[in-house]
Amino acid sequence: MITRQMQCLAILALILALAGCATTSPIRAAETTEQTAFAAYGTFTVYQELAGDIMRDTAVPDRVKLAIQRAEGKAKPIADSLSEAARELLRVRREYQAIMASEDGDGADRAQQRLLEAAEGVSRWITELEPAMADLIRAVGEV
Amino acid sequence: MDPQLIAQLLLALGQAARTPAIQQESIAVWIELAGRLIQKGSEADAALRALEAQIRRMVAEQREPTEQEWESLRARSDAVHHAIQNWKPD
Repeated sequence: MITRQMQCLAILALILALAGCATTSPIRAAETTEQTAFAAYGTFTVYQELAGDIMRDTAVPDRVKLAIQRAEGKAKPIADSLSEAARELLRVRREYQAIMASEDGDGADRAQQRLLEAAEGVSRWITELEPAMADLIRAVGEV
Repeated sequence: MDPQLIAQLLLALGQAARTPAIQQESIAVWIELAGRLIQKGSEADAALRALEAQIRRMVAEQREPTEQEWESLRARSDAVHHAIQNWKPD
């Protein structure tokens, strides 16, 4: 009975700790696709670092660490693909701006198309990252 | 953090609290873990606030993240990734 109450207290502690996080949203603060990508990758990194701290904690059971390791291993390649796509968008945008400055009409159409495709790629990876990050947070919450 | 993610996390925690393995944990371990969770939660919150401030500065300066900012973030992520993936159970 007392153990059950302690479990509830531990869960309440986590709820209170996360309530602070809930008021903080780097992703909502972003306005452009590149800023959103950076905020999403940064948020992932913060939870990754939180997971890393938990992995070093000797009081945490191995089964929890294994779950964290699995979730992080799945999410990291997705986050890295987002990072690559966002940096590609940065390069394509620079090319587009250079072409626009040179007033090359044909080149501008092609560059605009590439810019749209690159932006779509970034949005796709942000969408992919969300459930993978949720799994990582869930694994961290198993503590 | 997305409220939906918090809801999912709370759901998972509710399930975890009902599992026999977790019910067998000692009171002392639960008290200790509660304290650690508060500390870790506030550390994560401080890091998220710093990131949010960085994004707000980008918005105010009307600029995109630079290659250097991406490099720095990626290096942090890579370092912790290697540490997590190199962990082995005793």
